[in-house]
Amino acid sequence: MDVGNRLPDARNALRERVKARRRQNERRKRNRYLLIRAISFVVVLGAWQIYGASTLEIIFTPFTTVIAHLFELLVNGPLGGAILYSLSMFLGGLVIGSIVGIILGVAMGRFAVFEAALGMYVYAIYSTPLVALIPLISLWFGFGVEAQLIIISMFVLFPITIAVYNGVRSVDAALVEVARSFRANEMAMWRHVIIPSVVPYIVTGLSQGVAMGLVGMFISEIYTALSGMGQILAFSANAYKTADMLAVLLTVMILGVTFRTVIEELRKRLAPWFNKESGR
Amino acid sequence: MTVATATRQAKAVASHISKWYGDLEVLHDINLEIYQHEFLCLLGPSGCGKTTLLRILDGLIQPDEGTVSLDGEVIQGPPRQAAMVFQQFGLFPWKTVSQNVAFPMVLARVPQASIAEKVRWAVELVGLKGFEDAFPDNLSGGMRQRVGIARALAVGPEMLLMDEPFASVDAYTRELLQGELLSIWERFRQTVVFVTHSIDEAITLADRIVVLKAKPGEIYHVFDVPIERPRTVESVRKHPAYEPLRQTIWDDMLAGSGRAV
Ligand SMILES: Nc1ncnc2c1ncn2[C@@H]1O[C@H](COP(=O)(O)OP(=O)(O)OP(=O)(O)O)[C@@H](O)[C@H]1O
Ligand SMILES: [Mg+2]
Repeated sequence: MDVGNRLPDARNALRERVKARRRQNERRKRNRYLLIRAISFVVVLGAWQIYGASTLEIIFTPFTTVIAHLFELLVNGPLGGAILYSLSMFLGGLVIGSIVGIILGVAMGRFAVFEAALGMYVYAIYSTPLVALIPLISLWFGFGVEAQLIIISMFVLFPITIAVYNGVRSVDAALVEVARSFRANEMAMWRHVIIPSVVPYIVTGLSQGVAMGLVGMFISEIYTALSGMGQILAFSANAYKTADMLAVLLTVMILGVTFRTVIEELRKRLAPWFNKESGR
Repeated sequence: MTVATATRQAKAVASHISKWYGDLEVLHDINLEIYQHEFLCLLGPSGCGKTTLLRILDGLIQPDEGTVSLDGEVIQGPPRQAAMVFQQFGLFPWKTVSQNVAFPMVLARVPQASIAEKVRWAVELVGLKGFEDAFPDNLSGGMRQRVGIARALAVGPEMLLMDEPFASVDAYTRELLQGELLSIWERFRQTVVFVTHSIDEAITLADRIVVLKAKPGEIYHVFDVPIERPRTVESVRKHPAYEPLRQTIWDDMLAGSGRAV
């Protein structure tokens, strides 16, 4: 049963050459990709700059002005503190929403009792625009930190619950049988079969949860007590300080991209088997 | 061969097995002795209940009537002496080749060092050296089933249950794997129950062929394969007993299906 691991020297040399060529091709492809990105970046920023310079300051401002305002807001203005405040609210909501969401999703996915008891409420609330619930939450919990955390975690909760639920439901029955055949008990079943199959779903849910959480963060800061980055955004909008508004938006964009990158990295670490080569 | 010619001691006994799915009687009164160290093939048309019978032999599902005993004891669930090789491979996509092969031993709490050694042995035996850290998704169908076989062999099972293990690989790889299975089995002589719907495959591998007929699944006839070992795929094809036996079994299956196909 030897599939031929001891290849003659000529084959080895050929294999090395093939590998080298493949590496070179990949490098070329990547370089071209980066080049197109760079060009696109320059074109868009250039257009921004030119359009911003040629129109009214309250409509749009040049990119350089936005950057200058961003630094001004960070160094002398309230942006640093606002970012800290908003981020800690966001992370708090993310943690609460994720934990509750994962527990709820697993319970409903694995145990019919929980699905029968809770499923309909989850779907009902999930189908309701969460913004419509904010007046009620303010009525019950006021306008402070507590209400904000609740709002953010609600935004985070549902995408995660649904994703985890789907993950638990789609555990491959054939693999459950394989594990049973090799005499796995319930604990081994969780460790070797259920949890690994659900991890990619959890990460997908987290990624959606982060996006929704950022929405929840702004909404909570604008609709409850004005605070954090939402407050700066609202004030600068009222005062027609377009450059400040754009600076805040840029900040949030950078934060969102950072979170997505972190989660993508997390997925690669936690679910390395999930790395499929794309069809391109 | 040095192994004593079959002492005909029963390893596993299925008695009066019946299984229903709703109104459908999938298996009807199956009585079968599987002898120690024999290679037994279950041969039958698609849907006749071969997989169902194998799952019952592995204790994965309970029959509605009848019992399976292994080494004289009635089984209640999957027995530790048996290991299954699955038709669709049944590999865990999140485990590497090594981790998949190690899985049954991890469950059985075999010491770590011993697991590593047995994994190395089994992976080499099925010709997968160098692929220990690959994930199943990056392997061909033939290689995946080699992993499935290595996983079943590594625990050192007394009985191997194989459900059409080569059905989903190409014809060439299939013959290759048949030859490799022959040489492995002739070394270790586990008791094997091998499900197939290929007459050729059954004759190539088996000491005994049990022909099932469908609706309901019943044992129709049992044939001995009078071809000496060691065998290779070619030596079986060239054997004078091959063609006549093939014809006999073909006619028998045709008669069992109750119609001209
Ligand atoms: N869990 C189940 N529920 C209902 N019917 C089932 C179930 N499992 C099998 N059957 C039915 O029992 C019959 C036998 O199925 P089985 O899978 O044992 O056949 P098989 O001989 O292995 O077929 P194949 O050669 O196609 O694998 C089929 O008609 C199938 O539809
Ligand atoms: Mg089958």
